[in-house]
Amino acid sequence: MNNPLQTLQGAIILGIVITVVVDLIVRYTF
Amino acid sequence: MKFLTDPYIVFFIRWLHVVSGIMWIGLLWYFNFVQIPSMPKIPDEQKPAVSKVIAPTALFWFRWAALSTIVWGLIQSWQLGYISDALALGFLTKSVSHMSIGFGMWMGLIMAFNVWFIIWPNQQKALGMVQCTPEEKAKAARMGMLASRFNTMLSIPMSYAMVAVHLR
Repeated sequence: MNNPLQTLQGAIILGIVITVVVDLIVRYTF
Repeated sequence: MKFLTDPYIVFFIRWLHVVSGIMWIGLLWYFNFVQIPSMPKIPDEQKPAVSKVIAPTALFWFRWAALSTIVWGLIQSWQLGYISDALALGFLTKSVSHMSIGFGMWMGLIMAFNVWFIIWPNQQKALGMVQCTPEEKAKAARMGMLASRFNTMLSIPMSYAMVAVHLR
């Protein structure tokens, strides 16, 4: 798999994915 | 010490944190959305206008705004009494809002470390502010660009987690 940081678009998509993961962790941990 | 927890001082420090953050992330996005993609389209003889004039000035405000954002943010979380719980991702008090802002704080701290200790030293080589071989210069330009792009990536969940304290 290519490094997502090769392109700005890839970095933005990874940033959005991390955001969704963080949101779910925050919602459901406690 | 009492004046530090005065509601107006709390607000004012939050405002300093926010305006510093606007300058930091504004310049980060300028580099990633405007300057980096535009450089290949600029004729070689005009490139020094960016690399010798605009970029060093932008980098000056960029790295000091990063430090300012972190300092005011840490003071704010200390004066509001949640600095340790937020840095522990809310596990000390099982607080959802402290976990959220804690994720934002850690991402912001990683980004500021990146600015000062990875992006800035590499950009000094890439822009010719520090002497080095052409190979080192090309490698530094690539490394600085990737670290800057990494920060752009982190700026998305960082800003979201910072203001998502309403999640409960």
